[in-house]
Amino acid sequence: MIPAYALPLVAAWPILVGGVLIGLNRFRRVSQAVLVAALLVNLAVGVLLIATLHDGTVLAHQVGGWERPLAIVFAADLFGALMVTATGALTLISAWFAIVSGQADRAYFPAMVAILTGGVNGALLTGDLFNLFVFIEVMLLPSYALLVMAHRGRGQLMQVTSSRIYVTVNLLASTLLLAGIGLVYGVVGSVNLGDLAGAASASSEAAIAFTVVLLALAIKAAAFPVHGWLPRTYPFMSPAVSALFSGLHTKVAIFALFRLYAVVFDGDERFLWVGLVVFSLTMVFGVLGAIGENDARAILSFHMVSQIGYILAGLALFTPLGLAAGLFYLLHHMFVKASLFLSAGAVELAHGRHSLGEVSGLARREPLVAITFFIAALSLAGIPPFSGFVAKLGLIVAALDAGQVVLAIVAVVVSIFTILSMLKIWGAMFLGEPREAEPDAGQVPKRLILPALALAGVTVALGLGAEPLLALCRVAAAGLSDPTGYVEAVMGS
Amino acid sequence: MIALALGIGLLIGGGVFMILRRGLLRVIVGFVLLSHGVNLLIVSAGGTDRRDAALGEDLDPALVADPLPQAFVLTAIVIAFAITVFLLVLAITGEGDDDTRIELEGRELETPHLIDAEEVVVPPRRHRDPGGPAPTHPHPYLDWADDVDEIDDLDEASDARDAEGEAR
Repeated sequence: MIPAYALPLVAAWPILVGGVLIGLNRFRRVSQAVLVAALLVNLAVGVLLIATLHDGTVLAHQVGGWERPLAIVFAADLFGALMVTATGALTLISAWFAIVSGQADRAYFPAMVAILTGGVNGALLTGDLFNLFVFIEVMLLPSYALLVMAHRGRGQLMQVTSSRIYVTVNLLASTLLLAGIGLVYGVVGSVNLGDLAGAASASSEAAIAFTVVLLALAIKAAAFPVHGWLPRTYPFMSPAVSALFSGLHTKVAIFALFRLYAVVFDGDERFLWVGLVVFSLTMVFGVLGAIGENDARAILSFHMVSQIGYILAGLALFTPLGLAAGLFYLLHHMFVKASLFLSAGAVELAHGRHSLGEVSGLARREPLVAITFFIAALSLAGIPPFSGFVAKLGLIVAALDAGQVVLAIVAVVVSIFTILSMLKIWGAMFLGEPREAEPDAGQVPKRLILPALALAGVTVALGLGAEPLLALCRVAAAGLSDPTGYVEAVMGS
Repeated sequence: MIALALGIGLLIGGGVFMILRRGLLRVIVGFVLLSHGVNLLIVSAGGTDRRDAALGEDLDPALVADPLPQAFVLTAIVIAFAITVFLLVLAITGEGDDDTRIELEGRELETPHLIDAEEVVVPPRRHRDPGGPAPTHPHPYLDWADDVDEIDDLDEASDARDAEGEAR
């Protein structure tokens, strides 16, 4: 069980480990071993947090023993605990892939991943708006370094260009976030989430200030129409880094959107239609972009935009059913998308090719890779018995339950298009005859595909045994639709 | 108050203008302006009429300046400084120029990020004489990256391109 005073440590200790790893940089194997050990402990902390909070209790700690309103608050509820666990698991598996693919041999890679973990944990556990900004920056700075380390052998130009796009877009969004927080402070006079509870639904000035914050988070979450940066950057990172980022960065922004809308707007029904429109369009434009692409990881990146629309549609419904479906979708998506990025990346690393049509007939040559990709692709499209089916079904049922028939229709149609674009990858890369023109057609080594297979295993497990996680998601969603417990804990009463 | 609002507007307007330029160096200047504008915004969010220092005991809340926005700005400045330094490093890696322009030769309608680097004609760099003594090390500020071999290769490649450009 995790005591409340340990919450700041959950964010702080990975950063300390990162500091030690910088010192250990010369000893590659040692620093990788330390990183894996630290990530295992981090995962265990997440599981312990879930065990502590599974009944819907909220932990909060005023840092440094200061009284409110001087103290900075750390607070954890089940939603935060689930996210800490899921991001921890994903970081561990991405680090595993990075180690077996040799990416982690690059200087300071383990240290950057450790600091990134600390930033993510902090952003998930903070109860303070300005601290959220600080932790998002703590998360982004090592990411920028990881991005520059990421090579894809596709030429220097696109790599540098894409990291420039990534850094400038994120910097712009961060500046906007900071401006929004400044406006919020000017209007409400506090940045403590407890003080801000219900502020935006009570006053329209505060609602405008918070809209700036939400817009900045929407850019970071890559929602339509501010999604354009994501498909232009993710395909050009190294496979390990794109899997890591796909599971962490946009998802932390989505987490913050859920949290802020629930607490600060108090789930205000007046603005929900904006979300319904924007996130339906996100689904549609993401999948249309995916169909138009010609490169495995570019298709996957556009899918991400589409799936982010699904997740946030759960928020836009803001019914207990819709929120629970959105949370389940969020967790499912993190594992499946990372699995797809890793298996596509493993093919890329082994065959040195990326565009569809340059590698073919993999299903016959490399059944393990094919099975891994097949499971994750079907899960993404929402075919039973995988977790994607549970997630999509939950969302469609929630939409119908809330009377949003259009949203349900869009969700069904978009998932048909998702299958279509997945078939594009499947048909070009896995079916067909192996090219005779590839004399040195190598095999994807088993060690490269195992991380993706592990994640595919997670989606099978979540699909067949969805009930425990669904139950947790329902408790977490109840905490969002009625945030009094969270607010009281943050206020220290 | 008016002066402050105008100042914020000018800084943010100038920042947006610079961010929309092509060269990364101009974009960086844009971000510096933008973050100054936002910092002023935060300071003004704490109120501008109270100016007394928040030090000592028996403070009058009606006179003392709000210390919280000042702490915010201090944090924001440190973060902006770190990222500016990083962006400056990014501006000099890769191609020897900070310009992001590429010549597509009639392929402008294709999605630019799908065009392979080898197909792209990089415009020859303008010859620039930085003046001063010759550098003793190709990239002293990139030593930390442990990638010096690669960077040397890149330098040689771009030097070769330069020589080609001059020959023409």
